[in-house]
Amino acid sequence: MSYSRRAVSITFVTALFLYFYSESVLRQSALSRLKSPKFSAETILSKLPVSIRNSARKSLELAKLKDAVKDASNDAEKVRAIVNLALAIDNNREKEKLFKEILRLPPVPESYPAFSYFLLDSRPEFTVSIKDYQKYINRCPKVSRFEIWNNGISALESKNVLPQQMKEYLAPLLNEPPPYRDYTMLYEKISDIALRSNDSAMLEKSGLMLEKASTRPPIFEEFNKKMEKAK
Amino acid sequence: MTERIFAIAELTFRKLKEPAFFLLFIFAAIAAYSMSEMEALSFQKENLIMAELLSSGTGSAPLTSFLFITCMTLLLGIFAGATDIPRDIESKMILVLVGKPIRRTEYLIGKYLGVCLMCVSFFIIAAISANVGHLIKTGQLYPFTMMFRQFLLVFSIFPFVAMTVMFSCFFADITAMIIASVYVIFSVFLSTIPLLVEMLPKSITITTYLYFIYYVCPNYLFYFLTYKIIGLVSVSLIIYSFSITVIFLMIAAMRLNSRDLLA
Repeated sequence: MSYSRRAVSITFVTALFLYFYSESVLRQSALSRLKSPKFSAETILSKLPVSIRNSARKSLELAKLKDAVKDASNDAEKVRAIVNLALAIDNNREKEKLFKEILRLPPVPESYPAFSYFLLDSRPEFTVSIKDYQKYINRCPKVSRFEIWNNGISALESKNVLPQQMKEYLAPLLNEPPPYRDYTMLYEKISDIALRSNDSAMLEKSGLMLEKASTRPPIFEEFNKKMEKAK
Repeated sequence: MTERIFAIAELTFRKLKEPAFFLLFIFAAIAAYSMSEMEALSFQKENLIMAELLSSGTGSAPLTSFLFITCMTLLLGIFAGATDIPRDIESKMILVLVGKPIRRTEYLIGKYLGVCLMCVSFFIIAAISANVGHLIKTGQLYPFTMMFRQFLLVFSIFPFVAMTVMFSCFFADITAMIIASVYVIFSVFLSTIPLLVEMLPKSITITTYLYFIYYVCPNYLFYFLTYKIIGLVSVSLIIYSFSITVIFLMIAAMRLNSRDLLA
């Protein structure tokens, strides 16, 4: 390489280095001003026309939820983030993909939307049987179970399952004392099914449980106690 | 070598004798004088995020009158920088100039310095006129730090002229002028990319591509930020200006050295 060519190359590389270095200093200086709340994506969105604003806000929210999935530090946090993302996504394929991912992670109370989504699914490779769902409920803390039971009922109802399958799903509730008053709703449901299917034994049992449940404290009281303890 | 470069620069600078440039200088002086107390007409800062960004931070901000002067100077930079070399090529004048002992690179640097000198003179005349206007209207001179900050806007001229000169080595005068103008408009829009990326969530993966496009254009926004005149930012701004200038001039030199001037 001739002397002049070498000099040109060195000058060019030096100029490039100085360009990137000085640009990064200037950029950081400009970006440091963005820490003020007036420079946020929300501020910009509020200034956009309504027609663009909603779709832009939706994209931004999805991106933030994706960030939360990436930033999750443990499985429970990750599941919570994926669930939030799945519930925000309109695309069913994408939603399903996320729910499948949740099933691959250790089950936590927050996983219930994925479990209920695949509850008695017609595709055998993805299906969650009633027994598996019940096992999952038993693994969750008591305060979370009501929500999961309820979600399972909604999922089964949306799939128009047979009354027998609904009975099978709710049966374990009749074998253990109700922990909270909120369970009255579930026993009313059981009574309703028992009445329609002329199952007097089930009707009697659910009536007893309903009475017991009405004497129990509501879930929110338990939450309040936990919150106070945490303080 | 420097003598030859300065000779070309002087030859370019002498174009100021042309009536068009002379009229432009008079216009700049009158306009800067009139604009000297027009801060009240500056853009509505409460409604523009960009305006708020430019005016936030500690230190001195560019004045509206000096922003106007800078824009006028850059306009002159496009006119002079984009037309000089193509006209020399068209009129075969370049063949006379780049014959021995003047090399093409020396000719290019001379042309560049000449146009820069014209622009800086234009800026200084307009700045003096704005100062005189301020003195007559308020009875006071601008504070030194504020004045110094305004003169830092001069550094936007160097990469700008280098960019127009670079385009003039590739295209004919009008085409170079148009392409340089479009490139500047693009650069201004692309200047907002880092701000946009900062506000967007990390998972939006287009950011890499956006940065790739961003680095292709100089960020003129940096020249208009509010910052302390003595500090890392102002030093970086000067380094930034010169590094881009060198890059543009090197690309221009490569093109001029490989170009068939008879074609």
